Amino acid sequence: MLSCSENEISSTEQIGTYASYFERQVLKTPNSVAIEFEGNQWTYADTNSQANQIARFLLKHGFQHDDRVGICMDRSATAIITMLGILKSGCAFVPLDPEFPKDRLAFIVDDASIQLIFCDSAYRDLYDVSGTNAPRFIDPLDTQLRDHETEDLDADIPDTSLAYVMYTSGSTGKPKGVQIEHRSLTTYCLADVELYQLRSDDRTLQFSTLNFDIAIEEIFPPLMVGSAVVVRPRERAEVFNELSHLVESNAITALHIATAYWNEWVDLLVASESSVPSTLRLVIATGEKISVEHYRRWKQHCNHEVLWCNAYGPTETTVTCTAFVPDRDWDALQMPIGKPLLHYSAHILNDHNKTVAPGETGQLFISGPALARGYLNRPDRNEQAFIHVLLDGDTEPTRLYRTGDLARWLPSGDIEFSGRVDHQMKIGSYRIEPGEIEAVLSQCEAVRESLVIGAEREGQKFLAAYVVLNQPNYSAFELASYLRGRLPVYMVPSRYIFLDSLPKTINGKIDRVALPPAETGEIPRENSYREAETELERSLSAIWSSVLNIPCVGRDDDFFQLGGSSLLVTRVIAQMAGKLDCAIPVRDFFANPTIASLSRHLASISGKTSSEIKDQDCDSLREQHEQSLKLRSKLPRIQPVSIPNRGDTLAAIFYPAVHNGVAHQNHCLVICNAYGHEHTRSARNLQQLAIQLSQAGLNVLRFEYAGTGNSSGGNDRISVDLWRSNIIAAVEYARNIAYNATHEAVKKSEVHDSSSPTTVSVLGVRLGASLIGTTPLTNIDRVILWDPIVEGDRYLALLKKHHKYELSSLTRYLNYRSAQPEQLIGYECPNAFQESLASIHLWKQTKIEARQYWVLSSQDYSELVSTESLPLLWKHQPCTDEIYWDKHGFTGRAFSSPQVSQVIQSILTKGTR
Amino acid sequence: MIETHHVFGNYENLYGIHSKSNVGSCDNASAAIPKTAVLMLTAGMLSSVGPSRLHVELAKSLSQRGLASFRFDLSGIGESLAVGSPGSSQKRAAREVQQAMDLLELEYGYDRFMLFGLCSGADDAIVTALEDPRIVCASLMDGCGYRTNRHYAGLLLRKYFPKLLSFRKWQDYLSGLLSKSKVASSTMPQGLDIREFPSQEQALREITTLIDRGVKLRFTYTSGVIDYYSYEKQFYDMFPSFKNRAEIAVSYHPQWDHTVMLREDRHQLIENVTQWFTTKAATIESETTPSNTRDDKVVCSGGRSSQASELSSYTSVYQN
Repeated sequence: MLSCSENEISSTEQIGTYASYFERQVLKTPNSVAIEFEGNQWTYADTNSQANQIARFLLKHGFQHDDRVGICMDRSATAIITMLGILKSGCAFVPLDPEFPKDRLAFIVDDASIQLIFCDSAYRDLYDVSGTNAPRFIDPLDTQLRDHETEDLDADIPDTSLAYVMYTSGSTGKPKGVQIEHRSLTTYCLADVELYQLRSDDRTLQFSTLNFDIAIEEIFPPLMVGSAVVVRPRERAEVFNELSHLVESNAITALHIATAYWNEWVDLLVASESSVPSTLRLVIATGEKISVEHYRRWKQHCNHEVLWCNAYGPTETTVTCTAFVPDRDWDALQMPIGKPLLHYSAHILNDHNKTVAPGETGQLFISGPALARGYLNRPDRNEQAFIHVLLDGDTEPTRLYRTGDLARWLPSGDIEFSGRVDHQMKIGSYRIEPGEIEAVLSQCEAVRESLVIGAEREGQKFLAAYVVLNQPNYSAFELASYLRGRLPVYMVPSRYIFLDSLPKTINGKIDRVALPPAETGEIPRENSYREAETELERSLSAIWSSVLNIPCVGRDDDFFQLGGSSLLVTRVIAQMAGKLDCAIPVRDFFANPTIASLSRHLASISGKTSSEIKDQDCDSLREQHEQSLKLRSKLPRIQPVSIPNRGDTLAAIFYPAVHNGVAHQNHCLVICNAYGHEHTRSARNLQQLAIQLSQAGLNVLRFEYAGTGNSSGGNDRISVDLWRSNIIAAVEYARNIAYNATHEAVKKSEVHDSSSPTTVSVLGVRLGASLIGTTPLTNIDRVILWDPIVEGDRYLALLKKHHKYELSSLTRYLNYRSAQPEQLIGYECPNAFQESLASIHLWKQTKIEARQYWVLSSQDYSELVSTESLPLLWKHQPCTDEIYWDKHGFTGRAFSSPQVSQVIQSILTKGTR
Repeated sequence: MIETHHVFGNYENLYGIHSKSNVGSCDNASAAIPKTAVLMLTAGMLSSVGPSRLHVELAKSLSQRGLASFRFDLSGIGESLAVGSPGSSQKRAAREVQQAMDLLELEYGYDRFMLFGLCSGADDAIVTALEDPRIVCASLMDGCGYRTNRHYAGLLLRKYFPKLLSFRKWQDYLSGLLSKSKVASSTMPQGLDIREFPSQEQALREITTLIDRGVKLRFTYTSGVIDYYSYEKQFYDMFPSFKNRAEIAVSYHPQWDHTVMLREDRHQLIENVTQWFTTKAATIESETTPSNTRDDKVVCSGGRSSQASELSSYTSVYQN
C-alpha cells in the first residue's frame, strides 16, 4: 500500500502512527546508535526505553490523546527522546522556543491549553506560574521519569491523533498553531525516506532549533531507517562558519539546512577556497528561493557526488511537499521547486479554483494525507486556507491547502515559484507575516499607523517599518526595543521610516509604490546614526560591516557595542592591513573603538595629512572629545573597592549596571578568577565580560584572592581554604554594594524599583570555578563554572608539566634552566598551597547551593565534565571557543571567548527573578 | 605599605594604584615630603599588576626603600576602559602617562617622576620623557634595539645553535608540524601586536635629547629580545657616541626571559631597579631644597584633597 509511487492513500485509510514505525525499527536495530550528543550515544533500545518512560509518566498523570504538552528545551538527545515519548503516549508536543519573548510563549501556552511543559530548569522563569491555569513543569532529567517501565506501551493510538502543533507567524498579530496528525507525520517521513534515499549508515545533523519544521525533517525520518541523528547544541546554531568543521568532525552524511544558512556556507567555502566536506552525501536546502549563483559556486566547490535538493513546503504540509533535484548539467536563471513528493499532489489553480494551463501562473495548492488538520482555534483561517475543491475529472471534492504562493508548471513537469499572493515573506528562512508585526506595532501608544514590508539591499533581505507616530519624538531605537519585548528577534524590523501619513490610493488602500525606499529608513541605534563621511571612514565601515556581518556601520558606532570581540578585532586589523595597507597595534584599536575615532587615529599617524589635521585641529579635537564623552557614558562607572577578609585586603572592581535603557536587574555577578598564568590569560576577557554584563543591566564584582593581583597578603599564607573564605566575603560584599548601587540609581530615577533584595550569582574560571563549587555558599541564584578544575592533583601535575616545559623547551630561555622550588609558571606556589590544591575533588566536595547550576566548557577542555559525571542538578553547556589550558606553548597567550561570553550573558539575563 | 586605588583621567577611564613610601609617615609630618615617585608603565597588554606580579613586588620593594610608586593601566588594557584619543599608540600612551602624573602631582605633591617600562612600556617611556620635563629617570627593559653585524653571530650562537643540538626541540618541531592544523586557534590570534621602534637615527636623536636634558636612562636587555639584541656591548655598538655618557647605564641578562618568569630573576631585577631608582632619587632630592613639607597633601587613610576630586572619581585604600 505504501510503496505506491503516486498519491494513492485515501483520506480514511490507516497509515499508522509514527511511534509504530519507530518501534519496528527499534526491534530491527536495537544496538545501533540513534542519537549522538556531545560525545555520548543513545542506541535505539536506549532511546525507546527512555521515551517509553516518558509516555508512561504522561499516561499515569491522566494525559490523553490530543492533549498538548509543551517542550521548552535546548537541542539535545533528551529533547528528541521527550518528543518521542510524547508521541508514544498519544499526546502532541508543542515546541516552545526559549528565545521567544515571554508574552509570545504565554500566548502559545494559553492557545494550546498546555497543562504540562517539559522544561529545562534554566527556562522556568520564562513562564508566569501565578494563575490558576498555569501549566505544571517537569525537568526532562527529573528522576521520577525514570521510575516508569521501559517496555513498549500497548496504547491504541489512532493515526488521526495529533502528533505536534507548530506555531508560525500569524497575520492577525498572534502566531497560529498548525496541527499535524500522526498520519501526516508518517506520510511525510515515508516520502522523505524515499526521496532522499535515507540509509541506515547515514548520520544526519540536527542543526535547527526545535520550533522550526526543519527539525522535524532532521529527526524523524532518519529514526525510521536505523540511522543516527547527531545533535548540535543550541548555542552553536548561529556559528555557521564552522559548519564544515562540524560536518567533518562528526562524519555527517546528511544535512538539512535553511537556505539562508546554505548561502552563507557557500560564501564561506568560496572565501576559504575549501571544498564541500567529503563525508556529505545528501544536502537539502529549504525555506527560501535558491540563489542560482550560489548553486553554481556550490558545484565548483563540490568535488564528490552529493545528492543536492531544493525542498519546498509550508508547515501546513508537515515539512516538504515538493523538491527539485538538479541533474549534473542543470543550469537556468531560476531554480524550480520541483515535483510533489510521494503521496503529495500539487495543483495550480486560477481565481475560480480551476486548473491553469501549463506555463500559466496561478496559485499553488497542495493535497494529500500529509496536510495539517488545520490551525488550532482558528476556524475562520481554516476555512480560508483549507478548502474542498472538485478538481477536473474527480467526482469527490479534494481537500487542498492554499499555499498563498504563485507558481506555474514548467514543461519538465517541475513547478516554478513566482512570488506571493499576499505579503508573507521569508527572511533568513523564517516565515514572517508582516501583519503580525503591524498588529504589535499598533498596540504601541506612540504609533498611529504602520506598514511593514520586506526589502532587499545588495542581496541582503531585511524588514522595514513605515510608521506614523502619535508621539513626535519616539525613536527607531525605542520602537525596536518595544517590538523586541513582544516578537522573536527575526521579526523586528531593522529600518524605520517615519511618515506624517501613509500614502493612499484612490480606493483608500496603502499606495505601496509611493512609499519612500526602505533602505532610507533609520537604523534603530541608541544614538542617531551618522554615515561614514570620508573615504577612509567608508573603507573602515565596509570592513567592520563584513566582519560583524551587519549591513552598515555608522561613524559613531562602537565596535564592541555592535557585538565585536577580541577575535574580531584581529580580523579587522588583518583586513585593514590587506585592504588599507595600514598595520596598527591591537591596543590602538581598543582605544579607538568607533569608526570616527579609528579613522582620526589612522589619519593622525599617517604623516601625509598632518597639515590638514592641524588645520582641523579645533573641530577635530572637539568632535573627538564629544565622541569620547558619548562612548564613556555607555561604559560603567567602575569603582575600585577593598574587601577586608582575615586580615587581608582584597582588591576588587565593582561595575555598577549601566542605565542606558536596558532593564535594571538588581542582580550582581561575582567573578572568581583563575590562578597564576591562567588568570593572566583570562584577565582581559573577564574585564570585557564585566563591561558587557553591566551594559546588560547587571552589577558585577571582580576581585583578587589574597596574595594575588593587587590584593594584599603573603604567599606563605595562601591556601584554597583562605581563598574560599575570600569568596564568601566577596559575595557578601557584592550583596551590599549592589543593593546600594541600585538604591542610588533609584534616587537618581535611573531605575524604578529597588524594593527586592539583590540577587547574587557567581561565575568562576578554572580554579576559581572549583573554589566556588566547593565553598558553602547559600542563597545564590545562578552558579556558572567555566572549565572547572575537577581533580586538584591532575591540575597540579599539569602546572608542573607546563613549568618544566617552560624551563627546558628552549623557547623561553636560551639554555636549560633550573629554578628555585615552590614556584609554577611565574607564580608563587608554596608546598602547603600545592597540597591544598591537590586535595580538590570538585564533584565530591560540592557545597554551593544555588537555584541554577551551569558548567561551561571550552572546545578543547579535556577534563571530564560529561553529563554522566556531573551531579544531577548541573547543566553542561559546551562552547566552541578554543583556549588550550592543557597545551604547551599557550601559557602566555590571552584568548577571546565570544561564545562563552554570549552564553554567560544569556544565562544571567534570561528569566531573572 | 599603604596603597590607594584611583580611577582618573579625562574620561575617568583610567585605573591605577599609588603605593606610599614606608619611610616617613604621618608621624613625622614635619619631614620633607619626597617629590619624586616611580611610575610603572603598562607592559604590552598586561595589566598594572605586571608579569608575574612584577609591578606589585617592585612597588613593595620601592616603598620599603622610601620611594612611592604608581602603577596603572593604559586605556583599553587591564582595568582601564577603552575611551579613545587621537594620535599614535605611543602619543596616546604619553598623554595618559601625563594624566597620571597630573593626578599624582595634585594628590600627593610629586613633581618629578622616574619611569619603569618593560617592552612597549619602555618605548612609551621614551616618548613620554621627550614630551614631559617632569620625567627625570627611566629604567627601560627590553626597549628598542637595532641589529649590528655582531648581533647575527650572537643570534646564531646563542639562539639557533643550542636548538639545533636539542633533541627536545626537534621533537617539538616535528610534533608541531603534525598537529599544526589543530593548534591554529580561532580564539587566540597571535603576532598582531606591533612594537613601534623609531629608526636608529631617530632613536639616537631622541636619547641624545633626553640625556642632554639630564635625564638618566638605564637600559636592560634580556634573552627575550634576542632577535634584535644578543650580546653585552651591543648597545654601544648601536650607539657608539654614548660610550662615555654617565647618564646612561646598560645591563644585559641573557639568562633572563622577557617577563622574568622565575622568582630568582625577578628578585634580581627588582633589586637592581630599586637600587638604581633609590640612588637616583637621593641625588635628585638632594639637588633640590627640601623646604616644602606639603602637610596639607598627605593622604594617610584614603582622604582626598578637594582639588584631586576633579581628577579622581573614586579612591580606595589598601594596607599591604
